[in-house]
Amino acid sequence: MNIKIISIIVGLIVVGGGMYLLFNRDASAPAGEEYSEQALDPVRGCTMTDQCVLLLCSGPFNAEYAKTLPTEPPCAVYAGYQVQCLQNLCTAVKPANGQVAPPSTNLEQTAPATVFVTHAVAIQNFAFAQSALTVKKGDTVVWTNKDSAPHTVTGDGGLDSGTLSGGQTYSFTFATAGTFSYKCNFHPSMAGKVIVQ
Amino acid sequence: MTLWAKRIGLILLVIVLGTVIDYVVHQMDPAFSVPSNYFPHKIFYGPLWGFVGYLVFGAWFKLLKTPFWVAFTIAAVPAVLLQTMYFIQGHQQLWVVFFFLVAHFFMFLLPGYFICKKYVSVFLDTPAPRVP
Repeated sequence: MNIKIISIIVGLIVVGGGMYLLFNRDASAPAGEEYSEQALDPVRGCTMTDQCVLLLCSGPFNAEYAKTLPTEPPCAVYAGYQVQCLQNLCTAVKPANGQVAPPSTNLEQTAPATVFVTHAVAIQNFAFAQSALTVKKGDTVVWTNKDSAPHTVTGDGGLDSGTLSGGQTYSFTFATAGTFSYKCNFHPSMAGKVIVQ
Repeated sequence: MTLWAKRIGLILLVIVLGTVIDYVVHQMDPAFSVPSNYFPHKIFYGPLWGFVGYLVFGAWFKLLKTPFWVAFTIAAVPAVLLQTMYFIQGHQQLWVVFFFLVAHFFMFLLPGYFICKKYVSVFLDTPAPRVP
């Protein structure tokens, strides 16, 4: 066989393999976005749900401890407080009644009735990770685009994220009950809904 | 055997060059964005369908008489078949699907024409001159 043709075929295989690796790199999450309970400080006795969006601590909350709380994942921890993490920044919201729940690792027991929960929905591999999510009135949903491609969260009830580039987030608080359907404007096959009770 | 290997290699080259152009175009607008496996998939299946098209229309029906029609075939068959699959998958808006149906054809046709013209003897069975 002509040596030129062999060179072309070998070259194409190398280029093809390189392109595959290049374009397939967003299949795995970037470093620093993977959280696990093991990553939390065991001294603080904290538990984590929804990929670092809501953290509850079994230990008592005090001001001194708050100063030492990290601002990067696995984020801050407050007993009975609503903790929201957007990107690497976590904030805690005091419950409306001002009460801090007794120490517990159980979410249902720890969180006062007035605490609103933040839910995380990953946008990955051209799909919404949770296509149907049930939340309570007043809860917040945070969508994070983990694809390299841009997406949108656009739908009923004022849901409109605009264009979310890779790594960007969009949060929306559902103040009224109902079913809110949404989709990606760029990719119609991507659809989901939030059922607010 | 060597001739067929050359044909497969050159069709692969056409598809890879077309896919490089395609990659650039897909980066131009958020509406054109595609999943990460889109381009490797195209490089794998594009040559396959291009070769099938060449087999059917060239080797079987003997319809391909000029380099242009060879290029037309190995551009049109993958473009139509792959785009039909993307249409069924519904990843993109309808106008994007139809826009890229035409765009993909020309992306493959452009390198395909020059390659088929340069390697005309590989794709077209030109009869050997008779020796008196």
